[in-house]
Amino acid sequence: MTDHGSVEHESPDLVGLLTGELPRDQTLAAARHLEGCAKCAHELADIVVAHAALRSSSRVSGLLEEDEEDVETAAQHDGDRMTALLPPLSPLDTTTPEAGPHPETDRSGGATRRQRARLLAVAAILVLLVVGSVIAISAGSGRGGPTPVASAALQPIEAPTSASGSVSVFADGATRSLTVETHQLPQPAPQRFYEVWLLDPTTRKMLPMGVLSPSGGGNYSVSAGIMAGYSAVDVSLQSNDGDPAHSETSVLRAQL
Amino acid sequence: MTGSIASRIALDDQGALEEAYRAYGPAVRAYLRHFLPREEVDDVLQIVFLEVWRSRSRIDPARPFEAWLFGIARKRAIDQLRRSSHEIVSVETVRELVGPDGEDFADRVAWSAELRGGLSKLPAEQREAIELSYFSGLTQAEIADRVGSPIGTIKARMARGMHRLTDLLVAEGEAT
Repeated sequence: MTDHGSVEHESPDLVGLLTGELPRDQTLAAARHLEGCAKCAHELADIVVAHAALRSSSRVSGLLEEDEEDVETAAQHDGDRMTALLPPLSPLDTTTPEAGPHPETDRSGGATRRQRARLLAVAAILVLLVVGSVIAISAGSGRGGPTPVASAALQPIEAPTSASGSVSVFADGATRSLTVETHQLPQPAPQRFYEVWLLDPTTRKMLPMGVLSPSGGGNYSVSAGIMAGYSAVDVSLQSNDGDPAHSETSVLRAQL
Repeated sequence: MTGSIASRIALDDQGALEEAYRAYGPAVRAYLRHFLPREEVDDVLQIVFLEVWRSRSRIDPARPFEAWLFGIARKRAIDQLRRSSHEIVSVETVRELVGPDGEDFADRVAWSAELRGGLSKLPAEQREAIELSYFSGLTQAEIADRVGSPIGTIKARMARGMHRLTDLLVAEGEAT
């Protein structure tokens, strides 16, 4: 194989070669050329990763494709529902940065509205986290605070039978705040921790709420719509291994 | 790009979560829509990003964020199918969602999302030519007709765009 260096030569259409647009004779000629031309072979190698990713992506896109009407209807449905789920938005003005420019937002007003609706949905999640935590902390620390809409005792499963705890659920509009307290849970081994989950015992569906603090308590929040799909609270012992799934080692559980 | 989104989320940066939602929300939604009824997709989509936020302390910078994100989406889709009262779930759906085939499919969707992120960084004319070629199935001659540019220009745009895209994807791969 040679490098043509300063010798002028005609490069084959490498993109056309990869996309199968070249006729038979040009394809064979390109192959012969590539056998003897290091520069073109190197150029082909340079674009083959993009080609492979694009081909893979186009196949995936074909599988995931929805018809336009379906997408538009769903997007409208998406925007309406998420807007309806929003809590009071005033905190967003100070905590949420402006959305940066994005190709999709430049194409149509509809896309911009959908983007905004989705951003607002994320903002809603963030506000629920912050506001819910504040509410839960207030509820947990103050006497005469809000009355829980549900509460239950945490019962040991695999923990020592002396371990116990309680769960209280507070309502504030569309937000549900959980206050979890535990007592006499063994200190977890290094690189292990306790995590709180919502659980639907019938279907085994689980939603992680967050890590239990080393002091054995925690405050968590979630929208009422999501909370409605769960009827129990589970505390698991997790390994710090990057796997977000439940470890299947439950130590305490409460049926709300 | 994605590595920095992941690391910023891990550092409690709420703006990075918004950025992730803006970048990957549509792809996650399309992925969920492939398996779930439309009326269930929105709730699961919210749950996926809620879980991203709640699990941010466990983000592994050594692993591509897209793979982690779509791994969560896959698990939540399985949860939803188990929970909901669908009487019939096709064998194809189960194959694409559960087990090694499901992981492979989620990985491919994740890679596709990574690619879309790379495409968004290309100059608009290069991106347009590449998208028309690979996602609309047009030849370079047809693209030239469509956009009203000489075919030589289209070939040059595609070649430059493909080089740049490879660089972005390789850099992304090396960053994780």
